[in-house]
Amino acid sequence: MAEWLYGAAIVAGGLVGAGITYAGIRGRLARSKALFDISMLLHSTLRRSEQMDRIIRTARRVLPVEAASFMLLDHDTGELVFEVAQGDKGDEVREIRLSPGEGIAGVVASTGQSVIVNDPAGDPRWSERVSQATGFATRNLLTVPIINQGRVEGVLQVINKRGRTGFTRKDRVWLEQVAKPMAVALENARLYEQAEQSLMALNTTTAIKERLESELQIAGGIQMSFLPRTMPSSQEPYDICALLKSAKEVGGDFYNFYKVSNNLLFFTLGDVSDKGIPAALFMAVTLTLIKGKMTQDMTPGQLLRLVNEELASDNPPLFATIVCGVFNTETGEIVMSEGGHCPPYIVRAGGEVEPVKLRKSLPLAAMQDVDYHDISLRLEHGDRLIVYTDGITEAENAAQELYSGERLREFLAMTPGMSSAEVIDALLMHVFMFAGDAPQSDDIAVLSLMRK
Amino acid sequence: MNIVTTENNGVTVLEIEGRLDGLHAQTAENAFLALAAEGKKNFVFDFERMAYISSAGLRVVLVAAKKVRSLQGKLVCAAMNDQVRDVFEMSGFISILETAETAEEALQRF
Repeated sequence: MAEWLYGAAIVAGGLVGAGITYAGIRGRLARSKALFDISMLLHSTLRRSEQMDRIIRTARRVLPVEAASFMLLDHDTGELVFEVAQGDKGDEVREIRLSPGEGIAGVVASTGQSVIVNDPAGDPRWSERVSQATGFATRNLLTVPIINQGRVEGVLQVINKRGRTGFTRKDRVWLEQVAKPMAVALENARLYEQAEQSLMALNTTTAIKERLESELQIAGGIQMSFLPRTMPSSQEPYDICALLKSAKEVGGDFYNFYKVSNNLLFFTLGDVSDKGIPAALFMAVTLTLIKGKMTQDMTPGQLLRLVNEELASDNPPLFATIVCGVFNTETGEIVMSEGGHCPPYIVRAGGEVEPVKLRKSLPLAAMQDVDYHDISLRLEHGDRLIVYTDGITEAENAAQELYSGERLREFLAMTPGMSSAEVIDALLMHVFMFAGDAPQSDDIAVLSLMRK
Repeated sequence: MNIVTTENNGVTVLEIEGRLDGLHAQTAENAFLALAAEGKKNFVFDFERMAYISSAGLRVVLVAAKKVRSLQGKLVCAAMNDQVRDVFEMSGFISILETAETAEEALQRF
């Protein structure tokens, strides 16, 4: 019987001993699990405020405290900034900045050493400021630094441990474990936020750019619809072809041609003094005015005078050089006028290239009350008239050399016998081969009229 | 392209160096308009060191001429080289612009 009691006592003692150990193990398990959970949390989301909230809530499972806060170190000013806080007065401590070294948190941040204060009133390092500001009565607090690669990034602080004991060394060690991975997580969260912001900015800019590009394409399409798309048939005693190549989606060069009567063909070609949308709009207005005012009784010079009055009266910040003429399809006579434009060329059937000596006047819209002058010339069978804009003669290569009027004349001398379409194709090719890799800097327009 | 601005007895002299082409036209125009906004209305454009002018550059000169006329001021273009003169002639502007051989001569016109 005594042995049984003795045995029972041992067993009982063992049980009690084991019970104490079991509680210890359970406690350690709880702490480990909390650490593990925190570790998972740190990898689960990259939003810093979410992370910090969750971490602190998890920490409080193991270390029951009334409040916990995490403060970030502002490396520029040395101040500690409250990022998040928990507990009854949680809202109120969010905005506070501590001067460098101020309070227990400041000391921890500057020394990189944890601090336990179980008697704040008696501690000279204690700063009343936060307590006073929030009305929070601090009984005890534990503060640990958050360190990443040897540098203090912030401070984790827990306040008013529930129960009667203050913070222990074990609490400190545990909280330091919690703080360790927080630093890396903070850095990652910061980088992620930066990347997110950059990405948002890029998306916005790309969206704007795409919208602009599509609007420009639409405008370009509308612009091209102003120009005659069909060339007259081969039944006609002449062969006319024209080409427009803008430097941007919408350009300022323009041409037009149409019959004003049975045997009179009107043609025009010009260059607005700009590129892009303002030039395109001005060009559209100019073409519309020309079309609206031209009649078979009018000379080109008279037409230009009228059109110029209309355009110049609004005093726009633009102008348009222009050349226009009326071709008599039966006689081959051409009456032409111009305003500020580069000289057209006649290519005779025999290969001679002659500049057309027009009487010069001002570009359209430069000034009001301007006279435009007519001259007459005749195309014989096989002769050709070429009008163009200075996008051709001013085309540059990489060495900043200009294609120039001279090269144009050399080219034109080789064209007798070619159709107008062939000439224009060949000319563009000649210019682009000259320009090489240099980008097209100005709009190009060319028109070729040959008397068959 | 470079613009050097000096004042000379109430006349603003703009010395344009380099190429006045599509790339630089806007800069030149802004510089001129800024001066006009300050109340200047008498200008000399000194083209002595201007190597080249394109139609875009021409536009700047026309804008300046128009502005100066509306301010009831005066603009003289000085020291054009052959290429520059050709461009002005081709555009017909030569008939409406006052020109001079040198900047000094231009300043006498005021």
